[in-house]
Formats: sequence, structure tokens, C-alpha cells
Amino acid sequence: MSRHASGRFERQENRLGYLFAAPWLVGFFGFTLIPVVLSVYYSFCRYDVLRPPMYIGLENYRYLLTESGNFWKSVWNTFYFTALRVPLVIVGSLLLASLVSKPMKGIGIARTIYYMPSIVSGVALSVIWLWMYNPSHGLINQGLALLGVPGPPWLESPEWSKEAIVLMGIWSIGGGRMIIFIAGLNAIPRHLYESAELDGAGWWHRLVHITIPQLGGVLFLLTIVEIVTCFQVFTEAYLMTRGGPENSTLFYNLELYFKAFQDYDMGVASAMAWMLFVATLAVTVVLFQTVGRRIHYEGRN
Amino acid sequence: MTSSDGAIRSVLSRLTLGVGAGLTLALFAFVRPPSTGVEGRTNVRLWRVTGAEAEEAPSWEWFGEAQDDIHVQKIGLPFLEIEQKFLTAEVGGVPPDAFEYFGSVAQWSTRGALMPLDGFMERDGFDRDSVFPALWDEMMWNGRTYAIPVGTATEAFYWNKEHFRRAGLDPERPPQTWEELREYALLLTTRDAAGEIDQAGYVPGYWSPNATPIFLNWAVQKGAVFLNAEGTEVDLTSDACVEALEWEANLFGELGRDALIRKRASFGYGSQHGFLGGRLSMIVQKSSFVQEIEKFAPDMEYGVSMIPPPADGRPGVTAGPAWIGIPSGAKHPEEAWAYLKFVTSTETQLRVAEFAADRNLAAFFPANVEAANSPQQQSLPHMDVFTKSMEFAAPSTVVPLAHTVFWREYGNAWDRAMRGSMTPRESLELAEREVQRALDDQIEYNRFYAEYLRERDAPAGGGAR
Repeated sequence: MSRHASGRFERQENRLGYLFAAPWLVGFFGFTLIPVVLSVYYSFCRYDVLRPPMYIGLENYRYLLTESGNFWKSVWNTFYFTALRVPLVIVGSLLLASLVSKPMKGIGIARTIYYMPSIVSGVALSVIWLWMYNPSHGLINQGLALLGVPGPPWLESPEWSKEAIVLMGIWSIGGGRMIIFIAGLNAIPRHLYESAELDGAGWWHRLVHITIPQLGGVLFLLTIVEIVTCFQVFTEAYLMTRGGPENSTLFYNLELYFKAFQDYDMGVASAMAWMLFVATLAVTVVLFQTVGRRIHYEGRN
Repeated sequence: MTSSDGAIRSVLSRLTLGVGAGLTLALFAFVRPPSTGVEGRTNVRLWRVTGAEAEEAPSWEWFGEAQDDIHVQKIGLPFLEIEQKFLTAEVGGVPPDAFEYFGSVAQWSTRGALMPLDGFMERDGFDRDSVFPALWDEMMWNGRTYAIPVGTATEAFYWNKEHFRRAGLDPERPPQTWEELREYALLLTTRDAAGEIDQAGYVPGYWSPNATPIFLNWAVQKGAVFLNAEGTEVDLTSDACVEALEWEANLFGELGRDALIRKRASFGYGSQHGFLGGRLSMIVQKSSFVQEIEKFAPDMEYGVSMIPPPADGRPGVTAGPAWIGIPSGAKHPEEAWAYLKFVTSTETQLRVAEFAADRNLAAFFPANVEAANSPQQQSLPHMDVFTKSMEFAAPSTVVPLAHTVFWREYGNAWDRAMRGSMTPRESLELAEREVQRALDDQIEYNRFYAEYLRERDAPAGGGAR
């Protein structure tokens, strides 16, 4: 076969390839890349979609950082939420995973049952928990009353509303995280435990000196994913509290949503979106540079 | 691989291409939206919020029967999507010809999304007095009219007569002043042994998570003016505003703040609603609440009156319109105007009243004074109170340029004061700052937009540069 012909085929194949990928390419450029790039520009503008953007330099950023009460409130709320929820969910998933990681009869069914709640959509979940948190008829406060403990008004109280939304997280500890932990736990060589046991190590020492170091990579990955997810918390607050009471559940993305789709203040909303992106990136980079370097990966020199 | 292989592949790939292109074209031919127009008539697309079919007075069909030139194609959109759909259609240059909606007109008129109607109105001698005067304010921007009210809803005071009787009050006499409302609220509130509220007399701000609609009424009754005449200065810290909030906050405290919050949180929707479930004696609610009472508590003995004013104030209430306008860039504005004229005419509004009376509908009542006062409309329960209220009504959009920010911040101010985390004055000061800033931004943006329009519309290549 001649060189010339082969070149032609390649070109033709390339053309075909691009042609078949065209719908995706159009979507990627038209609906993702261009809007993302434009949003950088809009973050320096006053822009409400209906009128042309008005360039105002760093004004949106200045307003958010120095003037807006809601912005810092939402930053604090989101930070608080993340700090409470990440440990709860990671430790919870790990405990659950170690409970169902051992091979025994019916374990598949047990895993399925623990996995099931995580299939429930965020919307349905919020509605169910709204009922559970009802201060007088809710399951939680009625249960507490049986124990003689007066329950707080949960979502109706600025002191308890964030904790209430964090607690909802236990609903999903049996989801994808548990599965990844099970895989991680099963990958730890048995002989490590056996020799530790011979040396007389109890469960605590085995956990601290074997399980956690061996799970390092998995733990690290899940923690980062969880932090990023927490930064984006939205559905629960949007459906259950609309940011109240007293803005105690006004999370970052909720404030962003209000700015964008209630006030049509796309400039401020774009600025907020980019700051969230930078913050997420910064947290991830810092974690990789500090914690990430100390992690032991199996099979790496 | 041989060259004959190559030739076959080349043919194959061309074939694939051809078939692919053909299929794509065929697909486009088939998915082209079916024409819904009527031959020989101009098609006017009307967007409005989807309603239950049986509850929509089909004015567009009546219009179709009344003349032969225009077909109005009604397109219903879900409430949660209509604003964003309208926004995108407007920006994309394919707006509907007519837009019927409720809520703030200013949100669209001030941003150039609606067409001024004054030219049409003057030409055809539109009778402004046919509509409740309180509704026009919201239709106006910069001295021009951008929409016409088709319906309205207002608020009123509801009380449970059985509760009144049990407390030894005259069931036919609602409280006449704020002071009486306070006394009745304390009297009607009963508690269990643990101090929890059993039956609530009145729960300030209760009906929705945002208390703004109710709170606005009290301030309006005190004579609050939220914006200066030039529309540049927000005033949420006037004595009227502060005193209204203080009154509500004091009452909240007197009834027992924590117990009240717990009680309010236990209320839900439908039969779980405080008033409908018979666990709350008095409430300020929308005019459409009558319908909910009939649906969820048909046996309840209840009364409706105007909202009691303060002893030193005046009767007052806010009213929000349902309106219809013509989007900027509409393809058939003249034909859309013909429909607007038809829907807002006294004849059509009377027909709407009749339609509502036959079906016992009360979501909105006609914006047309004659239709609202017609025997048909007045045959609906308590309509007399609502039409009477319209004489004292103030618009529910008080800061047109920053309506959504005002609505949210005012609600936040209320929330802080009720919970006692700030004094009413401090809380209102905070809200005022936020709303003022939003207003300043919008004023600046408007100036920029006006300049932009001047440059865009200036004759191209004009000599005077």
C-alpha cells in the first residue's frame, strides 16, 4: 500500500471521527467552554442577562469581600457545615464498611440494604427529613421525648439548623463511599493483621498501625471528594429552609443561586462561582502538598 | 491491506456519510414542530402559567370566536420555569407576543423586556378608570405603562368563630385595632400543663417562610413610605416601619417566643395548616384562602374582615396584580394588543367573573372594578370584603428596581427582630443598607443602559460626531 493512500485514509478517518464527535464538540464548546470563559468576564460586570453587561472592574469582588453581609455569612455556614459533616460521613462510612467487609453468609444482602438509602434523591430525602425534624410531631423529637429529653426545634432554630442538615448525612454513609472502603479494606494483606495479632496487638493498635495507614489513599481520596461536595451543598437548604432561620442555613451555593436566579445579578453570581472554584482548588492543592505526600500507596517505590 | 480494500472502505465511508446526513435531515423534517396556527389568521403566542384546565377562563377561545383575523395560541408554562424561559426567549429574540403573569412587573419593565403600551392605549382610548386604581402603580415605570392588570389578589383577616365563642368573645366581631388583636391573641392562646401552646390565638408572620407579605401590611397601615419620590432613597427605618415591627416583635415576645416558634414549626400544609386544622384562631391570609378553607375545612365557622389597623393608623392592605403585557421584540404587537384590549375589557372581565362564580374560583378576582362588583363575582363568599379592601390597597412592589432584594431582606429583618437577636430598628437598618446598595447598583446600571440604547439607536454614520 502506498504511503499516499494511507495518509488519505487517515485523513478520511479523522474527518469521520470529528464528524461523529461533532454533536459532543458543539455541546462542549457551545454549552460548556464558551459560557465558562464568558463567566470570567461577567464577574467583572454588572449583568442581568436582559441588558448588555456593564464593565465595573473588581467591584463585584470588592462588594462581596468587604460589604456583603450575606456573603461572609454563607462562607461561614458552608465552612461550619463542611467541618462537621466530613468527619461524620468519613468515619461513619468506614465503620459501616468494616462491619460489612468480612465475608460471611448473607453479606451481599446486608450491603445492599445499607446501600439502598443512598439511592433516594436529595429532594425526596429533604421532604422526609422535614417531617422527621418537625418539633412536635417529628419522629426525632418524639423519640427524644420517650427518653425524657426535650428536643430542639431543629430547622426552626438558628442554633440547630446546620447540625440538623449535617445529621441528614448519616442517611448516605452506606453509599458509594462504603463500597470504596470495602474494596480498600479487602485489599489490605491479611498477613499484616496476623503478625500483629501474634505480637499481641489489640483492635485499636491494629486500626491505628495497619488499617488506617494501609487505607491512606482511599481515605485521602474520599475526604477530598467529600470536602468538594460539602462546598456545594444546596438542595437540602433550598428545599427545607430557604436559607433561614436568620440565614443560618444560607450556604454558599444557595446565596449564589439567589443572586443568579432571583435577583438576576449574574455578575455577582459569576464572581462567587469563580471564588468557590479557586477556594476548592486551593484546598485540594494544599491537601495534596501536605497530607497527600505522606500517604503510603501499595506498589509504589 | 490492498488498494481495493481502501477503495471499498472509501465507498463505505461515503455511504455512511450520505446515509447519516440523509437520516439527520429526515429527522429534522419530522421533528419540526407541528403548526398550531389557524389558516388565514395571524398567530399570536400567549405565554402564561399553567393552570388546572377547568379553572382557566379561556379568554383566548372567546377571542377566537369574537373575530376572524387573529388566533391566540395559549402556551402554559410551569410557575417555577416561566421566568427563566421568558428571560431566555427574550434574550434569544424569540419572545412570545403576549405574556401573562403575576408578581412584579418592574422586574421586566425596568430591564426593557416589555413594550410600553401608552401609544396603543391613547390611540384606542383605553379607559384606565375601569381598573382598580391601586393596581396601576405597579404597571408604570418612568411615566410609561408596561402592562395591564387582568386580575388581583389581596389579603384579609380570617378568624375562627367557634374559638371566639369558646373564649367568651363575640363571634361576629373581629378585632378592630392592633390593640384589640393583641388582647384577643392573648385571650385565645391556650397552653398545656408543660407550658406548650395548645391553641394559638395568633402567630405573627405565619403563612409562609417569608413574612414579608404580612409585615408589609402593618407598615402600610402606619403610613410607611418605602421610597422617596425620586426613587433613589430607600427608607425602612421610618417611625412607621420601626413601630410596625416593634408591635409585632412585642406581641411575639408576649405570646412566648420559643413556644410560638415551636408551635409554628408544627404547622404544615392542607389539614396540617394551623388555621385549617383548627389550632390557630386568627390569621392574615390571601383572598384565595377562602377556597382552601372550603377544601380542607368545609365545616369550619369562620369570618373574614379587613385587616385591623393601628388606632392611630388607617385601614390598609397590599394588593398584587395578575397582568398581561407585550414583550419587546414581539412579532405581532398590533394583534397582541387587540387581544390585550379584549381580555381587559369590561365585557370579558364580566364573563370571567361569571366563569369564576359558576365554579366557585377565588385565586384572583377581576381587576376591572365593574366586573369585581358584579352580582356574579359578589356571589362568591366574602367577595365584598376583598373588593372593599381594594379602596385602601397599596402596591406590593415597593422598591421596583430592587424588588427581590427588598423582599428577602425585609423578611430577614422581620426574622431577626422576632427572634430577638436584634432590636427592630437595628434589624431594619441592616436591611435598609442592603436594599439601598442593590438600588444604587440598579440606578447606575439603568443609566448605562439608557446610554447604550441612545448610542445603538442613533442614526448610523451621522455627521455630528
